[in-house]
Amino acid sequence: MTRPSAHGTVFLEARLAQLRADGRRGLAPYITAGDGGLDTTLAVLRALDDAGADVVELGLPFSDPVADGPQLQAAAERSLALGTNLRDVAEVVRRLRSGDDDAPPSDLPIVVMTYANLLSRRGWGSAIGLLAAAGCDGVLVADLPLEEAVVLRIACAETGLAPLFLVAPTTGADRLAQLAAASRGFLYAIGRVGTTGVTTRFDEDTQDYLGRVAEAAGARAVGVGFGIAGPDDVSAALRHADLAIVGSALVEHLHRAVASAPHPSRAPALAARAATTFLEHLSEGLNP
Amino acid sequence: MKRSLRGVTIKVCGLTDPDEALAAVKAGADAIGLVLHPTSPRAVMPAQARRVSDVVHAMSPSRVRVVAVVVDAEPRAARELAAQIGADAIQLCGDQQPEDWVGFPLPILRRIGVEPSAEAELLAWRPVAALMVLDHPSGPGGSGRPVDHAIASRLCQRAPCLLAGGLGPDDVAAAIARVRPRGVDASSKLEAEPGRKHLGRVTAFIGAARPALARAHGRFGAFGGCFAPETLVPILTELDAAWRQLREDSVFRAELDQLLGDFAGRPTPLWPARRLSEVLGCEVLLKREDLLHTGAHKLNNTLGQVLLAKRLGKRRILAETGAGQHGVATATACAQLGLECVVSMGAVDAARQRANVLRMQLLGARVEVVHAGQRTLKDAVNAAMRAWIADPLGSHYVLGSALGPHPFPSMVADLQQVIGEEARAQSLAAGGLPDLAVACVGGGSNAIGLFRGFLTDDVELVGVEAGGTGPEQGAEHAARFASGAPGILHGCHTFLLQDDDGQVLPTHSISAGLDYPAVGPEHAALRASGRARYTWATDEDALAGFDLLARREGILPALESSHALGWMLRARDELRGRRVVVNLSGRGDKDLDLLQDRHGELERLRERSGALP
Ligand SMILES: Cc1ncc(COP(=O)(O)O)c(C=O)c1O
Repeated sequence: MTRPSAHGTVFLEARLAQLRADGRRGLAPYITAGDGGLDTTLAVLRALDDAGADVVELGLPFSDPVADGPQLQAAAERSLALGTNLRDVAEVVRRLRSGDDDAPPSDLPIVVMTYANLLSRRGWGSAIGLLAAAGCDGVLVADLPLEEAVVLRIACAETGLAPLFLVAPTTGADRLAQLAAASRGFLYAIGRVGTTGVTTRFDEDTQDYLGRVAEAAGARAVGVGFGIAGPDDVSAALRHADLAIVGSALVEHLHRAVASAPHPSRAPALAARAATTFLEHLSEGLNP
Repeated sequence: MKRSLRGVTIKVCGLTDPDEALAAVKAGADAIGLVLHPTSPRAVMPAQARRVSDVVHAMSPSRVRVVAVVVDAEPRAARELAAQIGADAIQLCGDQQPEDWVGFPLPILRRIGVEPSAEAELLAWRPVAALMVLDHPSGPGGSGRPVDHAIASRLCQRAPCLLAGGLGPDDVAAAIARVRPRGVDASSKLEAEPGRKHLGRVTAFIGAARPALARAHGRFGAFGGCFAPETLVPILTELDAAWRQLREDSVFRAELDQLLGDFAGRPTPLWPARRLSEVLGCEVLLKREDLLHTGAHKLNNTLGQVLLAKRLGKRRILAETGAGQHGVATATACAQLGLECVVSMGAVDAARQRANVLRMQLLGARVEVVHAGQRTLKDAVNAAMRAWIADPLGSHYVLGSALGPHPFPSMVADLQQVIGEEARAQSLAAGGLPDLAVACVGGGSNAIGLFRGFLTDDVELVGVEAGGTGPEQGAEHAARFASGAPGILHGCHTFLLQDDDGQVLPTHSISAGLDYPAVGPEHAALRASGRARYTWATDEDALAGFDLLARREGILPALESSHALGWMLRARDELRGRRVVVNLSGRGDKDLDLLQDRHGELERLRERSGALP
């Protein structure tokens, strides 16, 4: 399949290689697509780009997100109540890429995070093709272990989209090596045993584990996520990793901004402002 | 229409005779290979190939694929040949180039010689070939020599593959365990002489390959699998290994058998329900799981799993429950074996099965009421899975049905199989095998437990889902097979009630235990293969079934089990004169609150169904 844009594995990996070459570490905010409406999502993506996010994880919400804690479950419910689906997410990314009267085109790297049934329902090839054609860079499926990902990886290889895989503290050494070899873009390390949204303590065991992940990943970048809420967590997470992924705390913050809007039409601007201040706050953790 | 190769896991190749092909299909082959290469010892002429293909399609119009196996054919010749013999797919074994086959009208299987350099060839073919056939690198295939398992196993990670290379009934299971292919393909080792299949060997081969494939991936045909978050995957792998070992361990087996016998009350009786038989006009044998300790079949599973968890050194047990029967059975096993117990239950279910909440608490369990989502069984499973993800090392999750990520569907079925084994022996002792075995299907554990006893017999298997207020699309029910589609929920690929986007739909049933949007993957496979059929009973059918059993036999059945009886009442004409084993999966005490509310309806339903009071 031909790609309309330069996005995908090659682009994402080049960006992350540049991050390392510059001696920098980065932020990868997670947002739930469609929470507060799709216009809010677009405005927030643009704000995150302006505020210096290195990658955005864009969640395509599922009715039964078993890997997520209460905050992201609630965000998924809000978004689904507005009817968000795969096509909408692709459309938001397409609008982000093409630019309009409000903003110029953006090449902010985007990884779509979701659950297997939403892609399998449409057909893996067709779903991945749609995301690739819209200009997404990668895809990460929370309930699709490597062993079940043969078809996903084929579809990604054909479209250039990066398949990302997760590792967890329970992952053994052999499996860690396999996942590091299979993951494109970056390797996603779950910081803690548990679902999203609970604070991770970056104690010695956690740092040992993240050190092992970084070693297994070698030249491949590593992102650490689950339970990173403030600048201190960011700086601890980045001791061994390239990217700190911040989800539930940001999603809650954005939701409060949307909920405070006196009129729905104001929600995108308020959420965008909240995204900017939140990212600036987190950035303090980048230069301790 | 182009028929995909998705469900193809067992291919029998080199058939030359229509009767042998039919026998292979009957034994459970998903695909039949016809070798059209003239110099092969198994070659068939196109006219004969057409005869084989026609009888296979006549017998199994939707399930079985006929594959034309060619060596050096070009696309145009291959297309004509395939059309001539009525093939569904083509297998290429020669020097073809993948570019030439883009857009070929039939699905393609590509033979790959298993050697160190094979990966490049496999990757080149991947865009055009739906399945790879991994064979020994010598010659164009069919040499009957085994392949290098280490290389084959790596190739299986890169594309969907069938493992070939001289596989036979004796070595196929071990090869599957090592290579973990999508499926297998066999020919020469199944022969009596070149070109003629030995039917005993074909049957034995398929009989060994199916369970081995199911165990290797937790796959039942195209269904099952292990779709779990990474945190749980290593834990599930360990659980799988532990279960494989313990199910063969005589000390474990003896301990479990003692618990099932002297603690739980097995064997449960098979009751010839004469007064019920009179009304229904058929001979009904009730498998009395309602008499098992705690009042349902669920204890068979929880005793086994809690004993296993104890062996694994876990200190805490997590469970979900719908009707509360599984929660009570888990709490009971934990009290008996000395483990901590936490049960998740949806708020709606906790209200409609209040007595069971109290029972769990009295047994020392903590009940976590779930207020998310629809507040029923699905949401309780979500909560229990999250609790397990938070403590996978210290806890074991006792899943309550033949559902979820591998190894749960296999393990739960292994533990419930005792129902069918007993029922089979008891029915033989009582005069012969039944014509039908019937059970209600929630997640599917009581049904698979019963069915497994009769899988290789000439016994019709019928699963009854919850038809709610009517099984149509858009109505309120939990009849997954009536209006669901394949999808992935809670760790497995199976039939699922979902919308066009893949979001899971709300369900409804009068019985909390059947009120769930997905069905166990082994049932999805039994349905796909035609071995079992699935139907439904509405809330009202279930109430009528309940009323009938109460008044004619002096047994108050669980509303779940009442669905099986309700269907029989509706299907009386079809059942007339036949012998039917019904799984009475549980007793109805837990449903008294609900029946109090709907008591007034029973008389009206009795009149409508025309059943004698
Ligand atoms: C008595 C009884 N029968 C049947 C079921 C349905 O489960 P399954 O389909 O796993 O047997 C339940 C579930 O709670 C039950 O309590």
